[in-house]
Amino acid sequence: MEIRTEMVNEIVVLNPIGNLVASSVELLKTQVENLIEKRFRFVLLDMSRIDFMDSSGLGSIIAADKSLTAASGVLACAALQEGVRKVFRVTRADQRIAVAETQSEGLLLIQQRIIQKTGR
Amino acid sequence: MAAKRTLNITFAADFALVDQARSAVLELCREAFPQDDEAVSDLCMAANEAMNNAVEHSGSPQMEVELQIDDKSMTFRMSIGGDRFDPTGSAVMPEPDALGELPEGGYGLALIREFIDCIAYEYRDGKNMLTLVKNVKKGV
Repeated sequence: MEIRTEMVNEIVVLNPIGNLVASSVELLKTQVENLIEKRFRFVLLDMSRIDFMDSSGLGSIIAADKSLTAASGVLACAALQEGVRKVFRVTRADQRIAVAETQSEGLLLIQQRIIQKTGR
Repeated sequence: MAAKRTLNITFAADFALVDQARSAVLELCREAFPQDDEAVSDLCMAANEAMNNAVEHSGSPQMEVELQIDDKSMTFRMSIGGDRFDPTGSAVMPEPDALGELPEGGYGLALIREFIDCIAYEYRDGKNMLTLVKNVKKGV
């Protein structure tokens, strides 16, 4: 797996490509830790190119959500493929982690959370 | 109707090699049942969780997996030595804690249960032997 990064205003968009599985979860964890260390708090995980995600991958997203929330930030996931969406649904992770249909909707969702948090 | 097919793989118990084994299982299942993406995806998810669990908990250096496909189902069998671990026991989906936080782990066995139609386990001759069966839709 590789992760491409881009900035949209103050939101970091992470674009992982490949499979989010036990052998690759450290990459995502490290990336999010580095972002928090550099004081980036708003992260959109575009999952359109995650072909497969297992329970370790889900665990890494839950961990990222907790870390960002603890740093007064926001994590949202966008553009889940069907298999990934099913894992979110059956584990009920979609009731705890913000999920958007598309990257644009994910950006909007985070913008709304930023407004709620900062009033700007 | 899918012709009978079989795949056998023996490999070192390592997460990276689990990825390769899963890919091989996925490829053969997709070839056999291109009309039932969901069943194929479910079987691969469960097989992946079973293999990861074995790598993490068995302590064995090597595992064997077998995939059998007939016209109605996909059967994944895994055999691995080491400590006894029975994934057919209680496997409840983890719940949020009192603060509403989801746990970061503990989903693997519950996902296997959720994604598979039949699961069987036995410990024989010092080996953990797990069988997972996923039925496919007829006439799709």
